[in-house]
Amino acid sequence: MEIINYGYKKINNRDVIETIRPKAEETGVAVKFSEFKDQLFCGIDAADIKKFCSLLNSDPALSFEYIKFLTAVDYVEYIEMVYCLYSFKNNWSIIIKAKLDGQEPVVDSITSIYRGADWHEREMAEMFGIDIKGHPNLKNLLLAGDEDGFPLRKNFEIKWEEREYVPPEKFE
Amino acid sequence: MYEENEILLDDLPKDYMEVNFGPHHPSTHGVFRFIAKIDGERIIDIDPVIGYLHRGIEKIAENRTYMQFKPLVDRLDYTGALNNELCYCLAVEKLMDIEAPPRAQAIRVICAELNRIAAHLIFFGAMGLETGAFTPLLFGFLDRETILNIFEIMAGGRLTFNYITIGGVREDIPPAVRTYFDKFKKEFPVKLKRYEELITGNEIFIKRLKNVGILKKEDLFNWGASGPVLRGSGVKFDIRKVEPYSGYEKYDFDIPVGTNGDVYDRYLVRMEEIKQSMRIVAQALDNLPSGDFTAKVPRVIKPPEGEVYVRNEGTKGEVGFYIVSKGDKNPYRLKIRTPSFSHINMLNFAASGNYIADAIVILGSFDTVMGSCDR
Amino acid sequence: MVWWSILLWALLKLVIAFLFIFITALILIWMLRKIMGHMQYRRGPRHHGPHGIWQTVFDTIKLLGKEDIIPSGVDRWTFIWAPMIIFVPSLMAFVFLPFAEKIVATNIEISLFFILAIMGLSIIALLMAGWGSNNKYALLGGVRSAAQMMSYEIPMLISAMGVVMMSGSMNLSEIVRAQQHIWYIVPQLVGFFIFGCASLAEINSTPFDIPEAESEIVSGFNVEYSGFRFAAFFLAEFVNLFIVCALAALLFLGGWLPFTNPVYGTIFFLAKTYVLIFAVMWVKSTFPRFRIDQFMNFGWKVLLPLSLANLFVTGVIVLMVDKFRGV
Repeated sequence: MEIINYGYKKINNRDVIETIRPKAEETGVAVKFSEFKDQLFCGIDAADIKKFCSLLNSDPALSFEYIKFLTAVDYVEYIEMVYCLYSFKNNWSIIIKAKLDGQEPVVDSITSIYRGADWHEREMAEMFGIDIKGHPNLKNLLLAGDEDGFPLRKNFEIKWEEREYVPPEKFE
Repeated sequence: MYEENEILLDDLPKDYMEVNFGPHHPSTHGVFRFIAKIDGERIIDIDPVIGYLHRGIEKIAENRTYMQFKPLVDRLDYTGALNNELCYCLAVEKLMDIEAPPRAQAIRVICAELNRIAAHLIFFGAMGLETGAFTPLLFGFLDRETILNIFEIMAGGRLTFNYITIGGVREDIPPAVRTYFDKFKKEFPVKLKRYEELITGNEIFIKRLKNVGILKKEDLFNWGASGPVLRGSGVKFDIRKVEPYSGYEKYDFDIPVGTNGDVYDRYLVRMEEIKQSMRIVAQALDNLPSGDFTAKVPRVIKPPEGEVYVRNEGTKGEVGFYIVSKGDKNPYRLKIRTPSFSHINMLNFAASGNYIADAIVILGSFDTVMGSCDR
Repeated sequence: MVWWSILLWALLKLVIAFLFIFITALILIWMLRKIMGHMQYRRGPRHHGPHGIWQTVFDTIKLLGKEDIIPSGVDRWTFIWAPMIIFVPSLMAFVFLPFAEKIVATNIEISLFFILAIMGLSIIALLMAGWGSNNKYALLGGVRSAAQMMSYEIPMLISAMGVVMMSGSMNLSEIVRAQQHIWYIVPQLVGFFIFGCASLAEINSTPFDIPEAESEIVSGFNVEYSGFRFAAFFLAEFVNLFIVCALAALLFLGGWLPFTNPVYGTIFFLAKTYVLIFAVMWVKSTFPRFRIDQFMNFGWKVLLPLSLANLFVTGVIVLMVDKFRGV
């Protein structure tokens, strides 16, 4: 395979905004940009996640092909999903945020676009109780499955309890 | 009669054999378990099961102050602990707009690069053990002892340190570090050449590692791989060059790249990185600026409101901290992005269709640490 | 009274062979640990006795004192008898090895043939161990080892046939006597190499130790055994190592020559055997192991044609030399 050199490029967030905004308006996604300490954030609706991510992934001028991470933050009235994408070609990083309902959060899965989001979404589903639609394999990843509640939510009580370990019957 | 036999074979229920490579396993990667469906010697499907080392660090962070949380960050990737500390301190410093003085930055670079050499020596040993040679393990750990001696007089620990603080480092380095490192720099390249003749040029090694587990870079971008795994497939990308932090732009070093994308190239990339790290440490020790070793930091660390994500080139890939702060003493949410999590995610894709022996070798080439994957 | 003394004499030889085997196995295990240790910048066992000589004795006593665990669900008959059966070929082969000019337990005309045939019986014990433990790792290990041993029997036998053609007899003492002018390693260098590779595969030693590949299938067919059953497998592996190196020393390195005195002859023969054992342990601590398909390729596509070519060339040259001499 040929070697591609990615060197140091100075980034200007204005360029990123100017490139993304017309394309997003074309596909009908409402985007709100904001900046904080040289980082670019953009807020979109939860229903537009798949459209926006596939636009960012497949467009050759944007080419945000790399998913850094995917996480969620629990503000009590709403849960905010955070997606962080990176483009190797232009050295642009972008952090996408989407607000979900606090009691019953539902979001689409982007595993079909970025295969690396697989385990990140599984972890968010078990830690926050987010219902991720379209995920191929939504089993528990890190937890044992015998907690009551979702650990990373703010209303999770941290208590100390002695429990008896019941091993599963067949390895699963 | 042949047709009758064929129909009979079609009617028999067939299934693939499921073998469990359990959490106790001699391939030294920590407690990791995977369930493989195999057909003879070929693997059809791998289902990794993780979570045996899950300690809930992200939840603990919401109940501790920033300084109280800092020792826990060592325990994430315990082979290269100082890189994790560096990333966390850089993230908090970015939130609070503190800049470490030049001497502290140089000391941080020395720590991070020495830790990279130590972690790659463990990889060297483990790679030998995967293929069945017992000697590289002992050679790797013996050479690591010299580096751990340097760490002991510098930072006070051998595996976990708690040395890099918010604003600088905890103490100044003693001048004995210079003597120890000069001795290491004189003796180690000779040994490295010997290891190359013994192991890298060994016919059996090359047969085991070449053309095994070839990964293309489009797939790697999609899965989120980083570090030597990415560099082995022809992507010349290093966070130390693209987004320099802690004064890395002052040092002169090359980035090794592989062209084939197989396990052998990832192995060679890591061996070459050891040499480059020694170059960086030599330059840093030669031009060590004088001055303070820590900046002025308020007693109680209360960053202003905001969110920040800072990433670092850790020993195994991209380590990142995403901190959400609401102006309190405790972080509101702390997310740790580790390379091992993304790499083990990729195991099914990379190892299906190969032999069992190859799957073990591919897992070894990803160089995962379970403390970093499970957090 | 004649049959009484013959029986007593046979029993005495059996006891001596048994003792010799066990003591050799203990010495070899100690040797392996020390040599591997020194090659890895450490020193191996040091505490029990000078240079750790009694370490293996204590290890064996420890293994004998452990609880005898038989997992539920195993096939009891095969599980229990496999470690006993694995000693049988080694013990039988031992009886025919000559140590010096007249020192051999039993001297028959086809001793080489008998030894090589007996060594193939250890496949059965490994298959029994692999199948009998109710464990997928053991099954994989047992099946792999059966495939390996069967593929590498053939090059081993054919390379030994080259020696037989040159010496004209299958009796091991005769073969050694025929090497008085020149040791057979010089004309049969290729045969020595093939015999070496194939016999390493027979005794499951690195780089051919796939049946007990520790990093993938956790010790293969050994995995469910503990206590004295494990000790039986462990000792049997080292006894096989000794037998194979002794065979190589007899066939290619001239056995006990040039000393015909029984004492000096035995010592020299044992010295040659131990040099070969040292070489095997050196290889064991240096090389990684092959993958199963690469190693079957090596056996069938490289060693087998090479050994057949060796046989052909040896036959032609022996015929021409005989014709030249007018025999």
